[in-house]
Amino acid sequence: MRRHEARWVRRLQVAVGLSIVGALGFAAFVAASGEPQSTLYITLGELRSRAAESLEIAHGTAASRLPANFVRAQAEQLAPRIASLRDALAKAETHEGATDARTARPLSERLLALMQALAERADTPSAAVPIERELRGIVERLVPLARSARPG
Amino acid sequence: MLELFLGILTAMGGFVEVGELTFAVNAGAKFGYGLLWVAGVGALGIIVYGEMAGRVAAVRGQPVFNLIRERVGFDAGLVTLVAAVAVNVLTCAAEIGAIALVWQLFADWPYRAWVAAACVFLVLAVWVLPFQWIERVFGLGGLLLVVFLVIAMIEAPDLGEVGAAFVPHVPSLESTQQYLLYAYYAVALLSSIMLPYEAYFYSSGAVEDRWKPSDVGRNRFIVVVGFVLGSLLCVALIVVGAQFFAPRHIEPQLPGVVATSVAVHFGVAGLLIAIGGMFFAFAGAAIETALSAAYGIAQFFGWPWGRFRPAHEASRFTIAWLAVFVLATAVILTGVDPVSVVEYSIVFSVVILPLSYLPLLLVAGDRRLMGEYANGSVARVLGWLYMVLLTVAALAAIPLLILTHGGQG
Repeated sequence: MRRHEARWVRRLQVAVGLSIVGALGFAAFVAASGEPQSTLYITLGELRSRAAESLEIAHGTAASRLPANFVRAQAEQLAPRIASLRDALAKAETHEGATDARTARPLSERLLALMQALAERADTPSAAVPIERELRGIVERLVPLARSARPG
Repeated sequence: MLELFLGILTAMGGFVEVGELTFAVNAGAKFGYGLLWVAGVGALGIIVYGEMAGRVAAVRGQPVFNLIRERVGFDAGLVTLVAAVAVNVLTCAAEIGAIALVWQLFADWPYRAWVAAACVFLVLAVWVLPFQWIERVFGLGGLLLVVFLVIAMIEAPDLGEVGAAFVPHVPSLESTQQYLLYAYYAVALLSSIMLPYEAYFYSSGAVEDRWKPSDVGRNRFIVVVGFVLGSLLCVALIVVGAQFFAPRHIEPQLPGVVATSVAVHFGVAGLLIAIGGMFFAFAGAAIETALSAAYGIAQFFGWPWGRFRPAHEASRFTIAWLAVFVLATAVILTGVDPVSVVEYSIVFSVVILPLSYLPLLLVAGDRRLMGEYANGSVARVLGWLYMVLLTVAALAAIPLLILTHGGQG
């Protein structure tokens, strides 16, 4: 009985192992054979989300419902994520979807600058109002851009 | 009665961890109520296997890894052990990273300093607090997350629509890539609710608390009521994702961003409650994963184990949980994004779920071992149904991770 159980568990382990090897093999095959699938839509979707998060934080700062340290820390946590999206867009400008990438990269630059400005003036809610306004504009530009880039 | 009440609250408060928080809110933000049914399926699954784990521990005094070694032998068991420990270290790393992100919201220390501080705090907590207090402090503190239930209600979802979403279905989506992403989120959400460390920790905890066969009824009550209430928190997070974040075009990755949904309604006080709840939930999960890994190793190799023993009597067990904390901290200190670690820990968890739960299912159903406490027909049917479901999820998890570019789209 127990040998029977051990055999079933081993079969399960082998099946799971094969599914992992198969998936990795498939990914390697796709990467090696021709043009890799465009992932610009993922970058644009993420940038839209990071911009919308920044807007929410700016909105909360302007409404005095977020402590200054929270705002500074959120800006600090978001900054490297936005910077890596900006770098991905810079790369995409020379490869896939160059037009969309060229439109989005300056927005990512501006987003970074605005978050830095928000962090520096986190103690002054009134200073967050113009930042919030500009962030709203960025989100409004990124939403259709990210939507139109999605496959299907 | 007080014990029972505390047990239920602890089970509820300890239900959510960073993976569940991230995946539940994002599931709502990406697919609305389209994945609510997975929360229901996952809740029933963890109730079925949690109850079995507690019952076997109460009747046989044997936790999960004892059973794995006994039922499937050393070789096959060792593979499961190595995979389970690796996943526990990864999950612990994700929780430590998340604690550091949360603490950073309150003081201007660098992130890595908070990571180190979190490790020291967790080691001290496990070293100083008795087992029951570990469960209670972090489980009850995690109840602060109930604030998300309040937010979900304030956001006024259509209750008819929410109720209908609990019927398993696949919504109509735009593209094949969206269907793949939906499947990925279904698997990840199921995994985050049924995380294997929960069963390891629960059954080892039952042995630590010296449960007897007379505790079987208590076990059932705690598991059913506590996990149902806990899964309500998961449902609330999905609803908050759908009602609050989706219209704002936000798919949040950071705990602080998730907490802004509370600040909108309750200001700074609400923000502090949400972040406090997250801290207790993440810290509780970090401790549970570290102890679960140590329990597994000690039980598998037959070493003395348990927090009820002085450290010198269970020295290898003590070294094991200390090593897990150190390893997990080292993973996060490399600079890897904790959000990515969360994703990988959740996806790899589902891979080991059937391997961990199969021996438990076999022992819980064995009349020679369990006597009158063996699985009844309901537990048997549900147990095998979930075994099939978990096996399919385990086989699909890594291919889906790759096909969706790491769950991004």
